Formats: sequence, structure tokens, C-alpha cells
Amino acid sequence: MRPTRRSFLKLALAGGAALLTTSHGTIVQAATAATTAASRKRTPGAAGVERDALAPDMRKEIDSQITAMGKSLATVRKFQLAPGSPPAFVFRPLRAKRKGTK
Amino acid sequence: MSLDDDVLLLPVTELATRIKARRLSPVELTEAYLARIRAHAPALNAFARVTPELARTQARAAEAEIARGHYRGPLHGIPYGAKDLFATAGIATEWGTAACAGQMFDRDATVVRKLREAGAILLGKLAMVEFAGGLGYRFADASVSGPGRNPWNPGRWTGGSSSGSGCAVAAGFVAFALGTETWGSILCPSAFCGVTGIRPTYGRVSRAGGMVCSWTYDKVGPICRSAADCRTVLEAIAGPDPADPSAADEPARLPRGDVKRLRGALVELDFSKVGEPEVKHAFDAAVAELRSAGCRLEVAKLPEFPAADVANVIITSEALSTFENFFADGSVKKNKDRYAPHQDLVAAALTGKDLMKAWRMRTALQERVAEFFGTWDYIVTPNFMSVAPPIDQDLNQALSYADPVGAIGNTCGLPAIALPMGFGKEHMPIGFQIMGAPWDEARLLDLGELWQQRSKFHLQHPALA
Repeated sequence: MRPTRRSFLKLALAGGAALLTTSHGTIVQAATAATTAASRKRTPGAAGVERDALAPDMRKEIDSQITAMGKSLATVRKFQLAPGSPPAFVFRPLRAKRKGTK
Repeated sequence: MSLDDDVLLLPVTELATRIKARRLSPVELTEAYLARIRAHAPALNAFARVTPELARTQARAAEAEIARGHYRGPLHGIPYGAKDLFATAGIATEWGTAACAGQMFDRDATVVRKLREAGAILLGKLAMVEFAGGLGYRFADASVSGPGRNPWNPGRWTGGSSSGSGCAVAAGFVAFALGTETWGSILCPSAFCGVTGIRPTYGRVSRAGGMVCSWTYDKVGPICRSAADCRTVLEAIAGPDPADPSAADEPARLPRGDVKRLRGALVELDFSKVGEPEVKHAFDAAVAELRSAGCRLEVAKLPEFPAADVANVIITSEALSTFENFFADGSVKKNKDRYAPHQDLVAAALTGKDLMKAWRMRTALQERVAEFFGTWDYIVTPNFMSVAPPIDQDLNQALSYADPVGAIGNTCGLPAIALPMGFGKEHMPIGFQIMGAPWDEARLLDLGELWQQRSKFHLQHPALA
């Protein structure tokens, strides 16, 4: 359920950002600002319109969502995984689907 | 003969006993549910579509079979509803959005097929939030069926995204319902509507034929009027499925056991700044009751981890990929949530490297959670910190608190059961959840049944206008 997740994120991220600020200070804030600014400069996909062409109330909300995503990205990018930490997927080759064989 | 409305609110276990003994006719039961649906469901926006002809056909078949002595089991002759994201051959499946108007599939989803084979009767497709909320939503009306109105107070929301599933079970339109959860979509409507729902372990139930929102987060589960009913339905729909590689080869049987020796982690939420005091008081009372029932509950802290950020990155990536076609042809603009068409812009800064990092973090979180469950057997925590919000309230404001348990639970694919624990503001239902380690659904159901032997909140039902 996305809306609550997004709203949960508002507080969760606020807490997370505060936590990170203690140890990493401006680095996280700069990363957040960078991702947010990058998002705002990008042109949207085929279904969208230029952010700048959005109505002001719409732009305000989209900017808010971009900021929330930027904070998530900053947190993920800053998170330190131990060297050698496991990959996420186990890739498995798929057997040939030969006719007449099991 | 018309059935008393009280019969329609009986748990599946009781309906099954009567049907098996031929003291209750599946045909009469189906007609009574259909009459109640006609009278009350439209005002609550509970159904995407009702399927009376199919229901009558299935009911007559069930009745004839049982009369011949062929009783299939505890769902034979039991009417139910399925969230409108499960494919049903010959019946439109519209995923809650006008973008999918008239969408038809040529076969049933695996869970629908399993329930048909168990003899259950499909009363209709239940309303839901568009795309199960996969592209976000700010208001309850983000559904082609209209806002999910809560049977306890139609001026309040049902919760989502399985809005019709929670509503229909609480209102007595169906004996049980199927829902899905990516993050919160079974537990939320269960809590807000005062019913019992279980989010199974990721992979417990096949998703084949169900709409994909975020394929590494989506789970299928039942919403019912008791924990015992959840066990019955979950056993019927669980199990491996060649059509869904994620469906695990775990036994579908969920045997009862002794839960009093288990060690429960009490995860308290901070009500000092957000949340409603009635919820805290009810939760404290529930914990005291569980302890008096012999449950060992000790205060514990969850592993500290930015699980919500991991979920945000992965779910956003998967949902944007899943719904790519709707962006490409512009039909995403038919969604009622006006921000949905701009989600690609919102996620424009998200890179492949970010997604892979989030995935590696997810693996690291799983390791920490596995260690946590080396000490603790289950987690008890409030479900939501407030009652269902008013129907027209901005959900970002109404539910402006974090969900660390949901973030960890869904990111790690953990099972959880939502249980009614009383009533809060304006006599709206409130609930708590018990979350367990992967494949521990039987324990959660045992704990739920233990709770419901003592609490009886699950036996209270709304009076429909």
C-alpha cells in the first residue's frame, strides 16, 4: 500500500536523515540535494509532461515526492555493506525446453 | 426461506459445520448474501462487480454434490469474494483502474481455481485501490469503484489496497475474501474494518494469475472473520504451483501446536507524539490478556536498519517496470490519483546501481532478521496507531507515522496476522499484529486463535444502515 508507505517514509526518513547527519553530516544532505536536483532537471517519460509545465500545486507535490525518493536514495547510497557481503540473487541457467525429453 | 442476517456473519468454520450436516443450504446461503450485497454493498463501494449467475451455478452444484454425499471439505458451499486483481475466466478483471476497463483473461488465477476446486462459491470481484497502490495514492477515492467506505462508519475509509475485501468480510457480504499485500494491503483493511487477515510468508501462496505490482513483495492472503477461518482458507490456497516459480514447496497443512512456551518480542511504538491514546490503551490491555493466557512477552527492539528506504527503492523500481505499458500509452492518466502519471519523474534519479544496492541491503537485513528470530519466536505490536481516517482526508496527513515493522516484515517476506483488539475513536475498530519468522503461519494462527478464545472482539459486527 503505497500512500501509507510514502507517508511512513516521511517520518522514517526524517529519523534516518537525522541519524545519518550525526555521523556523516553534510555528506548525506549534499547527496540528497544532488539526487533531488538531478530528478527535477530530468525530463519525464512519454506519459508525463515537463515538470516545469505542471500546475503549481501538482509541482509542489511531485517535488515533495522527488525529495522523499532522494532521501531514500541517499540513505541507500550511504549505507555501508561489509566487503564480501553476499549478492542478492542466485542466478540459475534454465534448461533447454527440448521436445520429447523430460 | 430467507436466512437471518446473523447467519451471514458466522465464521466459515460454523457455516461449514452446518453445510456438511445439511442444516444449511449453499443455495439459500448464496441467495441471502446476494440480497445483502444488493441492499448494502453499493453504498460502501465494496464490489467491482457481483457475479450472481456464476454464484448461483456454483451453489447449485455444491448443494447437489453434498446431497449425493460428496463433501469436498470446509470450503464446500462457502461463498466468498476475490480482490479484483485475480484473473477470472470470462469475468472482467480491472485492477481497480479505468485504465483496465473491460480487461479479460482466459483463465482463472491459481487461487481462484483452487477455491473453485474446494467447492467455494465466487460471489464477485471486490473493489480495490487502483493498481493495488503500486503507483501511490493520496486519497481514498483512488479506485474506479470509488472510495472504500467502512461498514462501521461509511464516512471513514476501509483501508487499502484490499478495500473491498476488508469491507465485504466486516459487512457480511461474503464469508471470506482474498486480498493481496505488497506493503500493508491485507493488514491495513483488516485493522480498519475490525476483521482478521493473514499476510502469508512470501511464496506461501501462488500469485499466478494475479496482477503483479512488485513481484518480490507481493503476497496473497485471506481476510476472514476469525483466525480459525484464516487457517482454513490459507490451507486451501497455499502450496507450490508450476505457474509461479516463487510459490514454495512448503506443506499446505498448518497444524495446531502449543504456543505458550514460545518467546514473544513485544515491540512497542512511541505514542508520545503521534497516534491515538485509545489504541495504546487497547494494545496494553491486549498484551496483559495475552500474558494472562500464558504467553511469554518481553520488550524487544527490532534490528535497526533502513528497511523503508530499501522497500521504497525496490517497490518503486518493480512497479514502474510492471506498469510500464500504462506509461507508454498514456493510459496511466486514467488513474484517479493525479500524481500516478508522474511517478517516472519522481523516480528519475533512481539508477540500476541503486536498485542493486537496495537488493544487497535486503539480503543483509534478512540475515539480521534471521538472527533476531534465533532469540524470539514472534513479534507483537500495534497494527496502526490510529483508527481509519475520514474518507476524504489526505492519507499522507492521516497516517503520518512510520511503519518499521511493516517495512521489515514485507522486505523480508515475513508472515503476520492482523487481529481485532477493540474499538477506538468514534467506536472504530483497532487491531494489533503478530509477526513471525518465514513459514511460521501455523504459530501465528495458534496465537490468533488463543487471543480470540479470550477477546471476542472478532465477534462484533457493524450495524449496516
